[in-house]
Amino acid sequence: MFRRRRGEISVAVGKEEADLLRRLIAEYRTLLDAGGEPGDPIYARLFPSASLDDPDLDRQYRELASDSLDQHKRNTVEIATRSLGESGGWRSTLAEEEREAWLVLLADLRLAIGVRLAVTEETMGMPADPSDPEQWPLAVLHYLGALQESLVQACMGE
Amino acid sequence: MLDVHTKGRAAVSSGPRERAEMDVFRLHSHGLWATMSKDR
Repeated sequence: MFRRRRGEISVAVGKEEADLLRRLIAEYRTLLDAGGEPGDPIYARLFPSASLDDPDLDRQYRELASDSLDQHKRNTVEIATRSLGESGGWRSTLAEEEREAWLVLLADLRLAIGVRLAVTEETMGMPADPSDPEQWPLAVLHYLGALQESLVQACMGE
Repeated sequence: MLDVHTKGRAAVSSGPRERAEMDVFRLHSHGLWATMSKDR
Protein backbone atom coordinates (compact mmCIF):
# COMPACT_ATOMS: atom_id res chain seq x y z
CA MET A 1 0.00 0.00 0.00
CA PHE A 2 0.98 3.65 -0.22
CA ARG A 3 1.75 5.72 2.87
CA ARG A 4 2.68 9.28 3.63
CA ARG A 5 5.64 9.51 5.98
CA ARG A 6 7.69 12.58 6.85
CA GLY A 7 6.41 14.48 3.84
CA GLU A 8 7.17 11.69 1.36
CA ILE A 9 4.94 9.09 -0.22
CA SER A 10 6.26 5.57 0.13
CA VAL A 11 5.00 2.28 -1.21
CA ALA A 12 5.30 -1.25 0.17
CA VAL A 13 3.89 -4.03 -2.00
CA GLY A 14 4.83 -7.69 -1.67
CA LYS A 15 6.20 -9.80 -4.51
CA GLU A 16 2.88 -11.47 -5.39
CA GLU A 17 1.02 -8.19 -5.63
CA ALA A 18 3.89 -6.55 -7.53
CA ASP A 19 3.86 -9.43 -10.04
CA LEU A 20 0.12 -8.98 -10.39
CA LEU A 21 0.63 -5.29 -11.17
CA ARG A 22 3.28 -6.21 -13.75
CA ARG A 23 0.86 -8.62 -15.46
CA LEU A 24 -1.92 -6.05 -15.44
CA ILE A 25 0.37 -3.42 -16.95
CA ALA A 26 1.44 -5.88 -19.67
CA GLU A 27 -2.22 -6.55 -20.53
CA TYR A 28 -2.92 -2.82 -20.55
CA ARG A 29 0.02 -2.23 -22.90
CA THR A 30 -1.33 -4.93 -25.23
CA LEU A 31 -4.67 -3.16 -25.23
CA LEU A 32 -3.02 0.14 -26.20
CA ASP A 33 -0.99 -1.54 -28.95
CA ALA A 34 -4.07 -3.28 -30.36
CA GLY A 35 -5.62 0.12 -30.88
CA GLY A 36 -9.11 -1.08 -30.18
CA GLU A 37 -11.11 -3.48 -32.30
CA PRO A 38 -14.40 -1.94 -33.46
CA GLY A 39 -16.94 -2.42 -30.72
CA ASP A 40 -14.34 -3.12 -28.03
CA PRO A 41 -16.04 -1.72 -24.93
CA ILE A 42 -12.86 -1.50 -22.85
CA TYR A 43 -10.96 0.53 -25.43
CA ALA A 44 -14.09 2.65 -25.95
CA ARG A 45 -14.16 3.50 -22.26
CA LEU A 46 -10.44 4.32 -22.11
CA PHE A 47 -10.73 6.47 -25.24
CA PRO A 48 -14.24 7.75 -24.72
CA SER A 49 -16.36 9.80 -27.05
CA ALA A 50 -16.31 13.56 -26.68
CA SER A 51 -19.91 14.11 -27.69
CA LEU A 52 -22.94 11.89 -27.27
CA ASP A 53 -25.26 13.86 -29.52
CA ASP A 54 -23.00 15.22 -32.25
CA PRO A 55 -20.99 12.64 -34.21
CA ASP A 56 -19.15 15.32 -36.22
CA LEU A 57 -18.03 17.08 -33.05
CA ASP A 58 -16.84 13.71 -31.70
CA ARG A 59 -14.97 12.85 -34.89
CA GLN A 60 -13.26 16.25 -35.01
CA TYR A 61 -12.25 15.95 -31.39
CA ARG A 62 -10.82 12.46 -31.88
CA GLU A 63 -8.78 13.57 -34.89
CA LEU A 64 -7.34 16.28 -32.70
CA ALA A 65 -6.84 14.41 -29.45
CA SER A 66 -6.65 10.64 -29.68
CA ASP A 67 -2.93 10.47 -30.48
CA SER A 68 -2.22 12.75 -27.53
CA LEU A 69 -4.30 10.66 -25.19
CA ASP A 70 -2.62 7.48 -26.43
CA GLN A 71 0.82 9.05 -25.87
CA HIS A 72 -0.21 10.24 -22.41
CA LYS A 73 -1.22 6.69 -21.46
CA ARG A 74 2.04 5.26 -22.86
CA ASN A 75 4.07 7.80 -20.89
CA THR A 76 2.14 6.81 -17.79
CA VAL A 77 2.95 3.13 -18.40
CA GLU A 78 6.67 3.93 -18.85
CA ILE A 79 6.87 5.86 -15.59
CA ALA A 80 4.88 3.26 -13.65
CA THR A 81 6.87 0.33 -15.07
CA ARG A 82 10.17 1.96 -14.17
CA SER A 83 9.05 2.70 -10.64
CA LEU A 84 7.73 -0.84 -10.10
CA GLY A 85 10.95 -2.56 -11.19
CA GLU A 86 11.19 -5.79 -13.15
CA SER A 87 10.85 -8.35 -10.38
CA GLY A 88 10.42 -8.86 -6.69
CA GLY A 89 8.48 -6.75 -4.21
CA TRP A 90 8.13 -3.02 -4.53
CA ARG A 91 9.42 -0.77 -1.77
CA SER A 92 10.24 2.79 -2.68
CA THR A 93 9.41 6.44 -2.27
CA LEU A 94 7.49 8.06 -5.09
CA ALA A 95 8.54 11.13 -7.02
CA GLU A 96 5.82 13.58 -8.04
CA GLU A 97 5.50 12.23 -11.60
CA GLU A 98 5.29 8.66 -10.27
CA ARG A 99 2.37 9.54 -7.97
CA GLU A 100 0.56 11.11 -10.91
CA ALA A 101 1.31 8.11 -13.15
CA TRP A 102 0.01 5.60 -10.60
CA LEU A 103 -3.15 7.63 -9.95
CA VAL A 104 -3.89 7.61 -13.68
CA LEU A 105 -2.83 4.00 -14.27
CA LEU A 106 -4.80 2.57 -11.33
CA ALA A 107 -7.88 4.46 -12.58
CA ASP A 108 -7.50 3.01 -16.08
CA LEU A 109 -6.81 -0.55 -14.85
CA ARG A 110 -9.94 -0.39 -12.69
CA LEU A 111 -12.00 0.95 -15.59
CA ALA A 112 -10.78 -1.87 -17.86
CA ILE A 113 -11.71 -4.58 -15.34
CA GLY A 114 -14.93 -2.79 -14.43
CA VAL A 115 -16.04 -2.68 -18.06
CA ARG A 116 -15.09 -6.32 -18.60
CA LEU A 117 -17.14 -7.36 -15.58
CA ALA A 118 -19.95 -4.88 -16.37
CA VAL A 119 -19.88 -3.79 -12.75
CA THR A 120 -22.72 -2.04 -11.04
CA GLU A 121 -22.87 -0.38 -7.63
CA GLU A 122 -24.18 -3.69 -6.35
CA THR A 123 -21.17 -5.58 -7.74
CA MET A 124 -18.81 -3.20 -6.00
CA GLY A 125 -20.39 -4.04 -2.67
CA MET A 126 -19.93 -7.80 -3.15
CA PRO A 127 -17.04 -9.63 -1.51
CA ALA A 128 -14.89 -11.73 -3.85
CA ASP A 129 -12.96 -14.86 -2.97
CA PRO A 130 -9.58 -14.60 -4.74
CA SER A 131 -9.13 -18.39 -4.65
CA ASP A 132 -12.26 -18.82 -6.81
CA PRO A 133 -11.24 -18.32 -10.48
CA GLU A 134 -14.64 -16.83 -11.32
CA GLN A 135 -14.37 -14.25 -8.56
CA TRP A 136 -10.69 -13.52 -9.19
CA PRO A 137 -11.24 -10.47 -11.49
CA LEU A 138 -13.54 -8.86 -8.95
CA ALA A 139 -11.03 -9.59 -6.17
CA VAL A 140 -8.37 -7.86 -8.27
CA LEU A 141 -10.71 -4.92 -8.83
CA HIS A 142 -11.22 -4.58 -5.06
CA TYR A 143 -7.47 -4.83 -4.46
CA LEU A 144 -6.74 -2.10 -7.03
CA GLY A 145 -9.43 0.02 -5.39
CA ALA A 146 -7.79 -0.32 -1.98
CA LEU A 147 -4.38 0.46 -3.50
CA GLN A 148 -5.77 3.52 -5.28
CA GLU A 149 -7.52 4.67 -2.10
CA SER A 150 -4.28 4.42 -0.13
CA LEU A 151 -2.48 6.50 -2.79
CA VAL A 152 -5.21 9.15 -2.82
CA GLN A 153 -5.15 9.33 0.99
CA ALA A 154 -1.36 9.56 1.02
CA CYS A 155 -1.45 12.36 -1.58
CA MET A 156 -4.08 14.27 0.38
CA GLY A 157 -2.57 13.84 3.85
CA GLU A 158 -0.27 16.28 5.59
CA MET B 1 -20.60 16.10 -7.90
CA LEU B 2 -23.86 15.12 -6.23
CA ASP B 3 -25.55 15.96 -9.53
CA VAL B 4 -23.48 13.29 -11.21
CA HIS B 5 -24.47 10.78 -8.60
CA THR B 6 -28.18 11.53 -8.65
CA LYS B 7 -28.80 12.71 -12.22
CA GLY B 8 -25.97 10.93 -14.03
CA ARG B 9 -24.46 14.13 -15.39
CA ALA B 10 -23.14 17.50 -14.26
CA ALA B 11 -22.17 20.62 -16.19
CA VAL B 12 -18.54 21.33 -15.48
CA SER B 13 -17.65 24.19 -17.78
CA SER B 14 -19.06 26.26 -20.59
CA GLY B 15 -17.48 28.52 -23.14
CA PRO B 16 -15.61 28.45 -26.41
CA ARG B 17 -14.93 25.20 -28.20
CA GLU B 18 -11.15 25.22 -27.69
CA ARG B 19 -11.57 25.59 -23.96
CA ALA B 20 -14.10 22.76 -23.90
CA GLU B 21 -11.71 20.52 -25.85
CA MET B 22 -8.92 21.20 -23.37
CA ASP B 23 -11.20 20.43 -20.44
CA VAL B 24 -12.42 17.22 -22.07
CA PHE B 25 -8.83 16.12 -22.70
CA ARG B 26 -7.77 16.81 -19.13
CA LEU B 27 -10.71 14.86 -17.76
CA HIS B 28 -10.24 11.95 -20.19
CA SER B 29 -6.56 11.84 -19.16
CA HIS B 30 -7.68 11.10 -15.61
CA GLY B 31 -10.17 8.43 -16.62
CA LEU B 32 -13.27 10.59 -16.34
CA TRP B 33 -15.77 10.45 -19.18
CA ALA B 34 -16.49 14.03 -20.18
CA THR B 35 -18.44 15.07 -23.23
CA MET B 36 -19.20 18.32 -24.97
CA SER B 37 -22.60 19.46 -26.06
CA LYS B 38 -23.89 22.61 -27.65
CA ASP B 39 -25.79 24.92 -25.34
CA ARG B 40 -29.51 24.91 -25.85
